[in-house]
Amino acid sequence: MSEELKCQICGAPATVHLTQIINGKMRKIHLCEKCAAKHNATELPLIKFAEMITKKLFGEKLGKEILEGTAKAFSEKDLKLGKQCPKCGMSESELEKHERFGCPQCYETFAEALNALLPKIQHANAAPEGCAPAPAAPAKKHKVAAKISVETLEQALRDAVAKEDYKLAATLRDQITALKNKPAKPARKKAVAKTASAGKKAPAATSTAKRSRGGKK
Amino acid sequence: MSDLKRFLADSNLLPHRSLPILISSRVRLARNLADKVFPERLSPQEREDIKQCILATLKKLPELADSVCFEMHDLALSEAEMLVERHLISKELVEREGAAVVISPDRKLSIMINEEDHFRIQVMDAEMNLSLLAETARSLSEAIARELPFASSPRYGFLTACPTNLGTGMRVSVMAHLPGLVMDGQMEKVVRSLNMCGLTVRGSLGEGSDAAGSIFQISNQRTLAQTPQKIADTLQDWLKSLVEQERNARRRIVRRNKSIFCDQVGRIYGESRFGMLISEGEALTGLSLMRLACDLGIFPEYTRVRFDELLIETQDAHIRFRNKIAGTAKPSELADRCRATLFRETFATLPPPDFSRI
Ligand SMILES: [Zn+2]
Ligand SMILES: [Zn+2]
Repeated sequence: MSEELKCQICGAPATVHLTQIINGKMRKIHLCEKCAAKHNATELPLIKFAEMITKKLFGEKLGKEILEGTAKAFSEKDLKLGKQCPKCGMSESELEKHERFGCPQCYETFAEALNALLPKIQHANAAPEGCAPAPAAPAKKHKVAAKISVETLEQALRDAVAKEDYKLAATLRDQITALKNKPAKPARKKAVAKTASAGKKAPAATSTAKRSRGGKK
Repeated sequence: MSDLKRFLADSNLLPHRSLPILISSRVRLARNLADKVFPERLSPQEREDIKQCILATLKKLPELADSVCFEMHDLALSEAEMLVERHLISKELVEREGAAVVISPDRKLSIMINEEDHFRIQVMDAEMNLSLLAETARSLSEAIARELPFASSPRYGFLTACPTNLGTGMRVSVMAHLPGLVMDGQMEKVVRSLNMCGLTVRGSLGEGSDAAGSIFQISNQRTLAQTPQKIADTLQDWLKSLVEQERNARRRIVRRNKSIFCDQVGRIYGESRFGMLISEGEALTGLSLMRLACDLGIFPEYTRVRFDELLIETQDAHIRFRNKIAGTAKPSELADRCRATLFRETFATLPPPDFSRI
């Protein structure tokens, strides 16, 4: 069946098939090898890629509308995939948006995001004494980050299989394998994990860190 | 409600003492109840229940005997704004649902309930003994904790809604009047060096406010991995050098521009003594200059307290409340007229500037 499909960008026979959720509905994207390679279809974080392709296929304006619908559909999915505080229900994306924790338990649930944030908001660099929790963490933190990403991806993989979306499943499986093989750059892995779950462009650490300069009353 | 009106109308308890350069000091502790969701994420009913539970407990504490308690939904907006102008509550508390405040009879202590955290314990003073203030705040928070345990973790310390308050939950701040450094063009440099030492500088009304009247709020940035004592000491140490720098700047200004400076003081005195319309901004700038003149000996020492009183009483919500001006429209000719009246009445009791002292 896939033999008959044509690349949606250039019209050549399509060999790469991706699934996108638009307005809550699944939509397939078909590309030839060349176009897929040109746009790094397999390497780019999925959301970024979907964004680019959607704008290419539907034009800047309509594409943007479609993407907004996609983001909405994703945010519901996000609750399932992203971490959520068992006590107060705070999700990772809410935490990023409000920059406030919801309850004491959140400090355990989002320990990883907090560790990334603390050196910035508590100005560890400013004073001579040094800020204890910040430098103590990194080695352990990386492992946790890698583990979380794999778990998130595996959940996404199970979902994809359940929906018989084998192409997406294959992509996810490749990402998981890559992750398991070289646990090198946690920040980028986080970005990959995020794209599978949320419709946000920036990875958790950077967007949450923005408040650091303003300070608090 | 009559209780509130009496409380707000009572100005006997405005500052009795007033220091040059440093206006007031404050220690604030952020605390939350153990095992309870922070205020922001509570349902209105849960928030109400927690508020009532906290209020019932606080009423029993001997440390808070004779304190007054206001639930925010009982206050008119202008009344709540008066409490903000006196720094007894934060601007943010005014908009919070299910919030309340407990204030001690001498107004040196206030506990906000259901602000961003369940508790915001504040101790204020015109003196500059920061470690004493920190100790007062600590013992009060411990008295509360004996009845209602606080959320904490062995790793971080006290847990707060915003991680910028994590650990000690303590913000020590000093309100400083630095017209010399501002006029001398040094303020930027001073702010930078304060920042280097972990101190934040803001306008007098806290976050986002500008430094009208050359009044600045200086406070610690970090709350984590430091003892409360250390936080208080760091700021206290800085105050000495800050006061010294401000004095030097003032000396330079007066030496270089004595006649311009005296002219300014004379003109502002004239406006204050005889003006018919004074806006809130004019009042603040004018009083800032009068306070500076007092520090330099142009007005006698006892006048500083009067200037500090006026700094509070000429703010918009105070003027509207005292003169029963309805509505909340900010720029109002009626308010400006009432403010000018207050200025004329006060300045009629003060001696004219004496420039022979500088
Ligand atoms: Zn193609
Ligand atoms: Zn939580």
